[in-house]
Amino acid sequence: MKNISKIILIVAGLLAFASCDKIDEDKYTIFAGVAGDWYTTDADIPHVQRAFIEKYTGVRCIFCPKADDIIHDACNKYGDSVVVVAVHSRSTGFGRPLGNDPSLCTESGDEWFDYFGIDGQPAAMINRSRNNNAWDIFDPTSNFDDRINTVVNSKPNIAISIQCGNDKDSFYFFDINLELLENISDELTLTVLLTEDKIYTRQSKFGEGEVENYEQNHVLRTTITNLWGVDVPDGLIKGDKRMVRFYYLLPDNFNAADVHAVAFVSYKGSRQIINCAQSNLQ
Amino acid sequence: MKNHTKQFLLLALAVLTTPILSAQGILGGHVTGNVQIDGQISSADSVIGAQDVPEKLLMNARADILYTNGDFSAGLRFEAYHNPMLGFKSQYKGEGIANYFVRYQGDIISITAGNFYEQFGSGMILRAYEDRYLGLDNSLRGLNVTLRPFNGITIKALAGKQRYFWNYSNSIVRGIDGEVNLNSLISSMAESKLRATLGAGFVSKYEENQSIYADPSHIFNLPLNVGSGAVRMDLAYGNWGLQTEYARKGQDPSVMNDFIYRNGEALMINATYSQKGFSANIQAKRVDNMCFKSERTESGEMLYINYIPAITKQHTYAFLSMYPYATQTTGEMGLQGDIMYKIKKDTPLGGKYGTDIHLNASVITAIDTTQVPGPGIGYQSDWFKTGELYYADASLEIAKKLNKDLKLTCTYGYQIFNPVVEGHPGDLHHNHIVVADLTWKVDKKNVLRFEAEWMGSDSRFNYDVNDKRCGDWIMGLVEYNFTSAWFVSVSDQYAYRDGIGNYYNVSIGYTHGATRLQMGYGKQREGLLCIGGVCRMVPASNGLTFSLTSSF
Repeated sequence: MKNISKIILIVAGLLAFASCDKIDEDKYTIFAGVAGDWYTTDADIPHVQRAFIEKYTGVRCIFCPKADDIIHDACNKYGDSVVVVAVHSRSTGFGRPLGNDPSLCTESGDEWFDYFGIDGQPAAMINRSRNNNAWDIFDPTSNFDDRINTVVNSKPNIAISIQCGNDKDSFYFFDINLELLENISDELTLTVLLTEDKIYTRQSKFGEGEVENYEQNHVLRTTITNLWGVDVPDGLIKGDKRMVRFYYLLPDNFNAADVHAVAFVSYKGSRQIINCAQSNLQ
Repeated sequence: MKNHTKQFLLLALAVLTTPILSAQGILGGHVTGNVQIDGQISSADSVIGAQDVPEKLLMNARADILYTNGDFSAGLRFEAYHNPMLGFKSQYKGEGIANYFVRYQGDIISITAGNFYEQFGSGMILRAYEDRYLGLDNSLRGLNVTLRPFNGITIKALAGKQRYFWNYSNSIVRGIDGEVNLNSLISSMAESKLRATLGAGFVSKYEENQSIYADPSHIFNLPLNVGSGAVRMDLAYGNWGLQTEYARKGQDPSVMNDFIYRNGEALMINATYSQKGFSANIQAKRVDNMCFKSERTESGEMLYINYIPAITKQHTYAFLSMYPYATQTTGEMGLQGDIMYKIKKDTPLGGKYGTDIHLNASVITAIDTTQVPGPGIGYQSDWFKTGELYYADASLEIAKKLNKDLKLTCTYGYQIFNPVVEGHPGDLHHNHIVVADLTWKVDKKNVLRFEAEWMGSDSRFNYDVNDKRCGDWIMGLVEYNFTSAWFVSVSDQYAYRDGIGNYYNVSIGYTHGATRLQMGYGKQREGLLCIGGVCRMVPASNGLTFSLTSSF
């Protein structure tokens, strides 16, 4: 009897104390809306103006590594205030792979390359801004802090944040929250894309020829939304907050640990970017 | 229902035939039971708000049958609601065997299979019980094992599903409880003046996941297993006694707490002192988010796994109990003091027979809360800070035997009641109540009782709130018990100022042995019926009631 009692006590005690779930503070709720539909939210969205640095590059572009160094310095200097996307594009042939390396070009990248009329690489834009009715495309091989400062020091009209997670193995979700900080009468679009760091390829480099195992960072891998984005609901006024979720099944050739999700809001008519945000996938 | 009946008959057959096969003999057993039939005929009364009853006659009936044979017993309860009486949930409609069990009760082990009732400690983590007047049955259907491996040690383990009207909840309740009586366990303490019992328990429920929306795009991430544990201590030393229990509950978002993820906790302390002619008792409790139900979407009085003891006085006089306090399991703090003193006979105040004085006071408040927005812990709470006043009650009762035939009991009570505890806003009600109760023992078989009550209140009836307790009231009652078998009573409660309603009642009853028949005619005011802080709403009624109870 003594032994039976002990066994019953131990087993029942273990079962009992194991029978209690604890939900972590950041997981009290689970998104259950329709992907791509917009919902009101009370999420806390940082009122930060960020700069979207869009660098057009290619593995055959010998001056592009120089631009990479400049941008690397800018990332270190501005941290979360800058979001960088390296658009490898093949239109001029700079994006064509070297040797048997996989192509880093994307259809979206090529389309943007053509749309913005990039005629040489490296080339960059910040927030797809315009200068005298032309896209303000510049050479990023020299310091462009002034351009970054102009953007990040301005007052944001819209706040944006992005959170990622995965419900199942490689099935990731992306929650984008927007808050209008000013009334904006123009139609807006939201674009979500993925970039990846630490992709090692051959790279042509000025003075060194073809370099092996060159580390490519911020590489545009895919757009989750249409490349020109999805429509942000009409009729929003200052103070309104909205959220939308997208899902994406991460392909095997993406290394989730080095992937970032990027979201930006732009004017539908002018394509100019108003604000952007970035989050690590993991 | 039919399946349950079939199951039970098979089970009963197995139990009953086992002794025959083992040559113990079924004739050694015996059958006991009781029957209760309550009925009601009610018609519309626009003044008191009574509705017409389409069925004309409503009836609740039940019969408990218990078969006992040595250490074995088996029982069942048949219930019929045709249709449920006013104030009882319509889900009870129907009839069938609501409860059945078989039990072996040995010296070391007791096992119950089927429906059972159980309580751990004061019930703060588990109390499966039944109260027919509340229409409440939280019995568990499953297995309940009690072990007494050593003298002074009791271990209980159980698992089952809670009754929900004619069905069972979709969750599983598991629990274990241990209690040690140190005086029985430790031989050197056997004769000690200090009596000590320690206990601890743990209860967990498993409930399947549900999609409950926190907002249009998010569902709650619900814990499927919710645990609750408690420790308790019961000490007595000479005339002094101290009972205390502390309970905690894990995250349990539910409709009762607006789906917050805050842990729950409750503390109950009870200190007593008693000697001949005098006793004093003080109770304190603090409850924070301790509503523990076996279904997270159940908002009624059903499916409570636990029970938070009430620390307000359970009054019996009509006006003193007109504003009963319903325990706020989501959060409350309270204090109660109770003193009983008997002034000795043959003293100036005690007179020839002595005088009993009973003083009671209690106060219940909300706990302090500071809201935390969004889905989450819901609020922060300062442990020692009180929130708004929920209820306060002070009463003084003096009972004196005037001569060998006359006994007079006079009571004064003062109550403050916050209607928010019943779920609607409004000003506090301040009530003064005076009761005089005179019992005249006419002769050995005839007793006449007179009762007069008055209540003055600052509450005023208005049709928006429609609280029919408001206003100033007066009541009279005459009750005559004759031949020790019959009784008849006439009473009337009348809201004579700033209130509404005139509630008269005539009752007659007859008792013969273990059988009692009672009939009444009159009006019943709508209100809460509370027993031990657990309440049900009783709607107004106007008409005839009858009740038959018998046991065998």
